[in-house]
Amino acid sequence: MLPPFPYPQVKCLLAALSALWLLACGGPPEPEAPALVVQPIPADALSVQQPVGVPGATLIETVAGDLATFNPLVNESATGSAVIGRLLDSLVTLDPDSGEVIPNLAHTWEISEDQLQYTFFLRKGVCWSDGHAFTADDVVFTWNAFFAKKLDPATGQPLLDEQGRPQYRYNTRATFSQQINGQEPIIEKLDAHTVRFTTPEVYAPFLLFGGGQSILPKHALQTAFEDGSLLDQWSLETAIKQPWSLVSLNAFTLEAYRPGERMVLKRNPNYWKVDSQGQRLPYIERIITKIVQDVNSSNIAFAQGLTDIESIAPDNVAWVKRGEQAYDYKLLDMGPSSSTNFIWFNQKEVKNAAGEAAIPEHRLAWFRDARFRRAISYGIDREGIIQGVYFNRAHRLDGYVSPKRKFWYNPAIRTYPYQPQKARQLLLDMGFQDRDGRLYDAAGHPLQFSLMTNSNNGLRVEMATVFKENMAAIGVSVDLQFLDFNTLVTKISGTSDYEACMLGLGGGAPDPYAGKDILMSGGRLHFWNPQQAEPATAWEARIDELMRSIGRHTDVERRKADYFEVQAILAEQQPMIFLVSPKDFVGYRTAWHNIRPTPLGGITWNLESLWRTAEP
Amino acid sequence: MGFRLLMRQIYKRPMGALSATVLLGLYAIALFADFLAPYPTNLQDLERTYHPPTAVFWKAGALQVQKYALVDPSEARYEAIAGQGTRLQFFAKGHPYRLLGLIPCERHLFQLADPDARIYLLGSDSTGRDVFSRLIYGARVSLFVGLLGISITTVLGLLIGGLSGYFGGRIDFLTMRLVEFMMAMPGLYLLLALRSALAPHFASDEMFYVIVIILSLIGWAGTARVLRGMTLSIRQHQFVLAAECMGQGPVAILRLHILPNLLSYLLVAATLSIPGYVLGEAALSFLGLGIQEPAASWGLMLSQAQDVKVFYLNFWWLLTPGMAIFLTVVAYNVLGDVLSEHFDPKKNVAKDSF
Amino acid sequence: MIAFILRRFLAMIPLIFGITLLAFALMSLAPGDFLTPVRAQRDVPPELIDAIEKSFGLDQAWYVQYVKWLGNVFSGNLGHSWTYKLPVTDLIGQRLWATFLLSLSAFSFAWCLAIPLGVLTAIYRGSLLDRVVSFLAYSALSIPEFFLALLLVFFAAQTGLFPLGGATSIDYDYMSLSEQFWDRARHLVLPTLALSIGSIASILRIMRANFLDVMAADFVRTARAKGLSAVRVNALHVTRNALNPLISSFGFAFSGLLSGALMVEIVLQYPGLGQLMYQSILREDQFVVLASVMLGCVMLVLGNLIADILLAWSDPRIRLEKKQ
Repeated sequence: MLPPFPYPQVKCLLAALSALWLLACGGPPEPEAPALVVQPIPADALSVQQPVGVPGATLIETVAGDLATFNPLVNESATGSAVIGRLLDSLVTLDPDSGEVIPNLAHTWEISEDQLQYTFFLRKGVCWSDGHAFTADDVVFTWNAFFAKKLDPATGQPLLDEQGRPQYRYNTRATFSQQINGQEPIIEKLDAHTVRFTTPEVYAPFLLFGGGQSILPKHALQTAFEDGSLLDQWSLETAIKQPWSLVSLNAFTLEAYRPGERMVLKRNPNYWKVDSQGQRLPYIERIITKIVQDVNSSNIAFAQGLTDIESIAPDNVAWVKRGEQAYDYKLLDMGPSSSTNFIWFNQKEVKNAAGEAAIPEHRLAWFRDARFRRAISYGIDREGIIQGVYFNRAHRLDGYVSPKRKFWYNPAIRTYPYQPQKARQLLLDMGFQDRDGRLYDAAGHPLQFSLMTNSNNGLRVEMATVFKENMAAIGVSVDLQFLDFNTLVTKISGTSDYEACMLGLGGGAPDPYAGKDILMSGGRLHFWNPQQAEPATAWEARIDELMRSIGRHTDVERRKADYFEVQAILAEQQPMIFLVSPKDFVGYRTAWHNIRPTPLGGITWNLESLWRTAEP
Repeated sequence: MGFRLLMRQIYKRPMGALSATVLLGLYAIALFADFLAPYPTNLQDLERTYHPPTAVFWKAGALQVQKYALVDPSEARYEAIAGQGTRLQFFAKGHPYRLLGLIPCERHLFQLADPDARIYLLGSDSTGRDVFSRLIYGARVSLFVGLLGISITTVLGLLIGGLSGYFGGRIDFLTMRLVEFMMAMPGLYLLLALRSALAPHFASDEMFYVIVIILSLIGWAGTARVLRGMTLSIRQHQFVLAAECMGQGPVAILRLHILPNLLSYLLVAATLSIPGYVLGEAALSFLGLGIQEPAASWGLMLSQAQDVKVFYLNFWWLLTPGMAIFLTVVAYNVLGDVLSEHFDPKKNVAKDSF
Repeated sequence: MIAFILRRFLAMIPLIFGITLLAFALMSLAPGDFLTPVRAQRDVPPELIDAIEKSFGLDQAWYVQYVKWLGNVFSGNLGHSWTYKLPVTDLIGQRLWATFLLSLSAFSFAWCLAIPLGVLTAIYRGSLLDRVVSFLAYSALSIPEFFLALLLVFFAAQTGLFPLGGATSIDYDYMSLSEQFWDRARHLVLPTLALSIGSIASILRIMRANFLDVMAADFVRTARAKGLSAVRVNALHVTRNALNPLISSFGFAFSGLLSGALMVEIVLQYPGLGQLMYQSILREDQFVVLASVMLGCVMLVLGNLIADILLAWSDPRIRLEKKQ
């Protein structure tokens, strides 16, 4: 028989400890959200031509991979773009069926005779989510933020860099991508609801890219812009502690965010679109997005009837389809997608944290040799990947443009069918020697490199394994590194401390100029050698020229010819070795109405018009 | 004491016989993996991914392996083509290897007459590699990690525990504080932390040794403590004191007098701790922090089975490495119990319950 | 008894220092410093980076860093997590609760099942029940935890009865209190099963052995001779005495609270401390790794301490030492 615990002091201590601990879990009191001001429906509200629906539903979805920031100037992840895209809006947008430019925040626009001036007429009465009016000031503020220069405090003149070009205060992707051939468009406010852009030269895609730029709220970010902390705004910490400060113009605002767990978007009470009966949109009251580890968890959640819309990975379609009856959802085959998968070799000479060269010199020499890259390309079994890894639900990709973009796709580029013998022969011709099946260069270094890719994409991991075996078959030794996605992005656009990488891109506007960031040598996403001051090779210089020409000319045939040549050069030089493009599959619960997916717009282009029958 | 005598005693008990045979069988399979496995670990076949185990039937006077057709590529569903098979050949030539690492050989236990066809005893994985071959080759890593690790641990534990128990005094005190310190660290956390600290300094194919080192570093403390206690008590015996008087050095005394008396404990403890090593390596490889591709290990194979379509499309054969681990651990546990019963029937914790 | 507790407590302190020092030394073996992944991020204010560098002494030798880190720990600053953009203390607070819940439920389940089963198999020794349960216990001890978790996920996927992972459903925040309770309970079933099976097996075997030992004791025979029924004797006297040696395992369970659930959390994607540590190692989020290792060690040592205290409490010789 055990005695009663005779030491009240110890009991007190234990009680105190547990109380303390429970308290500790609570945390400091949260700051309160300010009261919401709901403005009346704008005079120029856009009336959406869709069947009328019933408000009040909650949309539940999952996303694989977390965001790194909510700041559109800093964001580089797909998840981030998707979320920010639901918060911010632009002057014009793309028609989801035809792909043409249609009015958005600007109800009309005029382009001058000489095609240099674009005047946008903004809708009147539009307000941000916190009730402040949206005016031309916001547009001017946004563009000034891109092109703000660093000023010399003594003279007040812009500081120049080594090439004599002005240095920018906030050097973001937008800064580069909105430049026209190295020069900036001029923006002027004509009145509270009219903005005029003047481009330095004829620039065909300006309507889409300039007009399609997300507008930032001046009243929320002006102070940060002036004191230099613009890029620190709308960070994850802000989103966690003060989500209401992310002022939005689109259909939703951020209600809550818990990193690694979930994100809740709430209906924007000041949204400027209405349905055909004059009711303010959106119908959806809340969007709850759960953040999961990877695509598989995301698909599982949908297959168990836990989420409402989902894009299904090609290898999961088979079993997800089985649950259609039981869980009341439908799967749609959207045909070839615009996502791509490719491998590239780092051609940038860079030093790592310890001051040594990140890539050994002899390897860098191989990576910079086009013959090497072509040989590798011949050695990859793309058909095998399509059948084995993607269960036949993908297409072979030979070049930069996916065959989905029928108009811009160049069918006559050089292709690299799977010919391991030829690959090996090309490497031997380069000077490598075969010893016992493995290749060595003249100095005795084994032909070996490391390839990194993101660990949360199971299909990419399998492709990497197949690639490794394909390479082993021709005598090349590959070390695989599976990294967390954010770590990967940091290496690619930050430290450049890697040898080869396998990644993919998704979506993108159909205009060829959309790839400017990637294709031009000064672009931030010019993967193999980003942000070059001058093009490092003749072919990169030629691509720069062609891209500028694409931008400068509005004649469609001329642009097409230029773009075809870009694709041909890329195919010849193989800076990015393209692999496969998976097919698109979307699923949605049948309780939802107004679902009209298109290949261009996906399933959420009319998110504000989606509604569902109330649950019993 | 005699090893042969011990073996005879083990085989007298049915459980002992069973577990010892199973273990010997597993190690034999691991040793002769090259001979037994029809394919190397990294032979992919992208047209036969997620293939189910191939059936074998008797036809035309020989064993034949069923041919399958890919009926639905979007689901990786295969159906047998009735009556079609490929001849199975025994002791046939296949991929070259070195038997026991020394003798170059080409003969395998079984091969197919047609090199383009495949025999998948346990199906194939996500890139068409033979699970059975990978299982056998993986046995090498998973089984020998245990043996290597336990030897290092035992030597370390014996040296440190034995010497500390023998000398006593300050050495003993300091050593025991060190041992307590080592035992106070949570195993898996230390494993992960050590791994992330050591891994960047080693190449990826040296990971096997890194894992062995890490596991041994974590494991020696417990052994050392017990051995020290036992040494302390043995040390008081007459024959040890006599040996000291005769002038024998401490190491000689340890080796000649103390060690033989510790052997029985060591044997039991070793047998019961090897599963810990096997599980530790499996856990590390499962987390992606242990053995990397292209080497195969049971933990690595299980991590590749952790894919949702495996569960939903019922590719059950990818879970067989787990059964292999289970079998190994059970065999070691049973053998350990039998040994401990043999050496000291009174100390038995689980009386007559298996 | 108090003296005993105090002595053990004091012995614990240098142990914790030593462990954290070791963990810190290990961290410094890895290339780069604590801030490498974050320097490349664009939206972190440089002032914050500088402030952290100074307060943790990252530009100095590792032992200096250790001392500064210790100082920070005592003032409640465990550093900053770069993947979650939260102070580590907040992050660990969230996860700690989840792991605690899981371990508590596994622990309770294991004990509630193992004790009665142990008693039953001892009483009906040699019967079919005994053989079957013992066989299952043996297998349960040998099965790797993560493999068991994998099998359970397989089972859940095939039958659809349980969620495949996580701790709560997606619309948890919008459920009523009772719905939330049942939601958490449903999500806890599989992880609890996976975690507890091993402990059930070992507790069962020990309980059974203890019970058999006590059943053979003299006082039991005396009680039966005096006419007490078998049930009363077994349920009261034998069980209480058989339980004694198991009391100390409470403490070990406490220490295993945080570190034991690692593999199960990872396979079943349960957002606890173990999964946090694993993710942080993958993402090189050093502050979090260090804090989790330290926390795990502290829990282990505390658990051992509690086990010792409980053992001492149930052992009259130690409890009564002050009366000497």
